[in-house]
Amino acid sequence: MADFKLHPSEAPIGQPIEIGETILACIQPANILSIAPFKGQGMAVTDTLKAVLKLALPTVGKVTAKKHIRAMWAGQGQWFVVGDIALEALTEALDTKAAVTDQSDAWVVLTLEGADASEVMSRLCSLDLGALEQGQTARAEFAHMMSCITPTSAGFEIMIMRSFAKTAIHHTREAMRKLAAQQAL
Amino acid sequence: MRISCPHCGERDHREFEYLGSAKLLERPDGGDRAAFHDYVFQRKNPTGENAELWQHVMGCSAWLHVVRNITTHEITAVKLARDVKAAAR
Repeated sequence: MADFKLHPSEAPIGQPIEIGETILACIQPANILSIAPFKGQGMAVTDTLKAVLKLALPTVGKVTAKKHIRAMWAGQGQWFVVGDIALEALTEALDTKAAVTDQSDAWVVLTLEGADASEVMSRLCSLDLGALEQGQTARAEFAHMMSCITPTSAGFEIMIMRSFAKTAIHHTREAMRKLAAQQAL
Repeated sequence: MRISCPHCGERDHREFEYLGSAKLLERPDGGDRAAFHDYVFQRKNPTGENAELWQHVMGCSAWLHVVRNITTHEITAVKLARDVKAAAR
């Protein structure tokens, strides 16, 4: 099969951006695969994923992980499998069970970490961050854009469409800068 | 105004997009022109509760069947539009 994948010429963030007590970085996974099970095929997709990746489709708002590969809920009837995946084998295994698209070049994974990560997040996202626990994930608005927000041990992971990445980074950097300036008063 | 999405929980209304009356779920057979005219153009304009379609466009992308009081903006019920449609069949 021809290689239709776009190879982005530059990472959205070269070096992590550190302002005040917050660090914004881009941790791009090798692959992001979107899986949308066909009608009534949810269990069949889970069985296939268990056989191939030893991973089940998580329920609404949850993440399941096995080593470095994660399956995350990504909206109604849609999941993302993120990590270093053998794309062709998995796509073939899910052939008649789900609509599968390679989203590796379509989404950017940002991380916001540090002592003030929650403060910065609350300036950009209307989600109730305190209620978001480890192992959960939420589709939510982030700086007026659609995103997937996942809490991590050190802060938050923000998945955003690549075409919006520069805007997201701009708004996040501004929020980080303003918070640091307020704290310096 | 906050809408309680069946998938995502209570979210600010800025995450949602309004489409219109939930009458859009009741699409008639295309052969009946009078019924189709009603479906496309005729809407009730109640002062109280109204069933509407909203999409959680910034969230899970689900279409929602929302019962909202047009006078007070109080939302009394939110269901997945696909469930409402399936129940009507």
